[in-house]
Amino acid sequence: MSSGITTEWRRGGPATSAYYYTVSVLPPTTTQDFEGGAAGWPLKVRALLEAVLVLAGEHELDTVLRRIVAGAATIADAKYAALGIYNEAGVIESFIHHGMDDDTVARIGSLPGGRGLLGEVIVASGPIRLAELGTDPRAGGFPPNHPPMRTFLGVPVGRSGRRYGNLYVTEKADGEPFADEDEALVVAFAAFAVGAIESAHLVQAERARADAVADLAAATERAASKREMLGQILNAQEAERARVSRDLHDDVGQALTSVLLGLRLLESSLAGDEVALDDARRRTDDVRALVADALGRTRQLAFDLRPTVLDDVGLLPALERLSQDMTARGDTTVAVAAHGFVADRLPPEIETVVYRVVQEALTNITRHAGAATASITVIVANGRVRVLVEDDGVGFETNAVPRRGHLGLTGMAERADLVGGTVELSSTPGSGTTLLLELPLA
Amino acid sequence: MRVALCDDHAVVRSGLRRILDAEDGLEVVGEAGSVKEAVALAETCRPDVFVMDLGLPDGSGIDATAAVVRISPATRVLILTGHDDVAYLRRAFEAGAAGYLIKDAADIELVQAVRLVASGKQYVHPTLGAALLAPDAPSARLGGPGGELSDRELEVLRMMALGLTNAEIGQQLYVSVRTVETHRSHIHQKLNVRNRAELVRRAKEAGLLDGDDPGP
Repeated sequence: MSSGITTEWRRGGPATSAYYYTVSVLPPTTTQDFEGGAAGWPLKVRALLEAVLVLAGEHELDTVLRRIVAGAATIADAKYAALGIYNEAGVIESFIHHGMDDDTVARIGSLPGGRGLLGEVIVASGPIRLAELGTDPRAGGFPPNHPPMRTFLGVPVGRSGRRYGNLYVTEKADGEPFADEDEALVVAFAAFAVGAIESAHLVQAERARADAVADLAAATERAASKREMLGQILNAQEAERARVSRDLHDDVGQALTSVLLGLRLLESSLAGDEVALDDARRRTDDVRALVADALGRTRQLAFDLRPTVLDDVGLLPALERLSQDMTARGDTTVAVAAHGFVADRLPPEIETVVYRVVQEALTNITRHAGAATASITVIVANGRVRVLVEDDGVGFETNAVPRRGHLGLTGMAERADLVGGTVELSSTPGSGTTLLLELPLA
Repeated sequence: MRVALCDDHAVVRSGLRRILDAEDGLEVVGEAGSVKEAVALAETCRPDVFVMDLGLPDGSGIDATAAVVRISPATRVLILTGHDDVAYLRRAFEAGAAGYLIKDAADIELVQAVRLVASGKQYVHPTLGAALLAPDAPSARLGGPGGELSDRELEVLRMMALGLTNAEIGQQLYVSVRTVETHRSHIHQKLNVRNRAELVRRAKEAGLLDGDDPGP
């Protein structure tokens, strides 16, 4: 170290207890000069310089605070030192102390709450120095098991507009009250400590910001991988449904068909024997009806799982079939229209999303709308697919959140999101509901 | 009458063969289990009627139908399938099929259907015939225009056909949602439609959207 620092101080008027101090950095000198010069300085100034230099090398808030307390004790040659940090409300948030062993601390129990003299310093505009702590009217008294403290020096830590807390030293080692120079040095040190605390805060804030950025990045990544996973699950589910649907058609359907054919053959084998044929027909008619019913159910099951027509022919025929089924089943007549279809096929993942969202919307209409008619319109324009599912039913209050929840909006929105699209549901009581699905055509 | 069968399920094929063989004047002359075999069979034996399944392991019966009709134009193809979607029926007829039968009715209607298509007629399973006519052709219930649409109403109609919501139309035309609703209700009355989908169909039929295709 080839530079030195000197500190000068001068007392202002006693009424204000304000100090004016200057800190100036000496021009670099040789080591020899420094040592020669420093050796002649008062011990306390060297202690201050050392404490300041140690503090300047720290950026961890906890360490900074502990070094401030230890530094103050050394500078003032005090047995005890402490730093009370106040929060915005003026309540002691943390209390860092020096000079008491752990057993004593444990015996005292709770930390000071900032009443009495400890709180007084933050209110005071300047330092408080006492020769006899117990006699001051502001003292709140010590808790049981607290070691005796007589001499006291308290200095506010802060600068205009922001007070962090108080620095206290007690029990000067030589038993004498704290002197003017002790007070001046601790005040100077406290001023430097403010800078150290603030830079530690900045480091802490920057670290928190970096952590928040990292958290956000991780959350984004999690969301992306969740989205990807959801996409894979839905794709796998659709593929499996398509497979089962075809199996139902091909295997179960064919097996039932062969039963029908078998019945027919059974009847044929009895040709010529009119009595036996009549008897057989009565029985086979029942079986035939059962088998035909089973075939119909199988077909419906396959359709509900995933209509093969969606893969084989396309979105519109699948939607038309869906609307025919709903029209045939109940009270709502459903119409389908498309506009702007140049190619009659859209990308398969788009077709699946549209189909599933419309299916869900129609289910909602069946359950809740009480609609006479519903309308499905698929429009391809400006590189986007726009699908509107509208009904003329009872409608609902759009901002009735619980209602939105059980309309399966989340699931629809998730599906749409997978292909970069959006779903919007709008309604007013009495004038139906409109579901708007919009998907980009990459 | 010479009949060929195409179905990938051997049990179904043998059932069909026995039923058809038992009929007077019908004879099954060959069986195929795939599109490829069906095409080869059409080439070698040129049957009068080809009974064709839709779901085949190497492709669709619709493709097979097109190939069979190309190779053997005199052959009449009768689709026999589990699919009861009108969309498949349309595709099949576009590909050149002469009949469409659902497997539920295979035992009862098969022979009649084979004879009908062989005689040059077309055959459609009754329930599908109804579906073919009904909901897919809303114009059946859509009356003619109940009055000329105003320029503003035409504008609203075009925007509706582009999928714009009432709020969006209102923004574009600088009018309130209520005003848009009024326009919509007048359009509905004049065109005798009840909702957007019917409106778009009706408008397309009436040529109101001609030259207005939004494009891809």
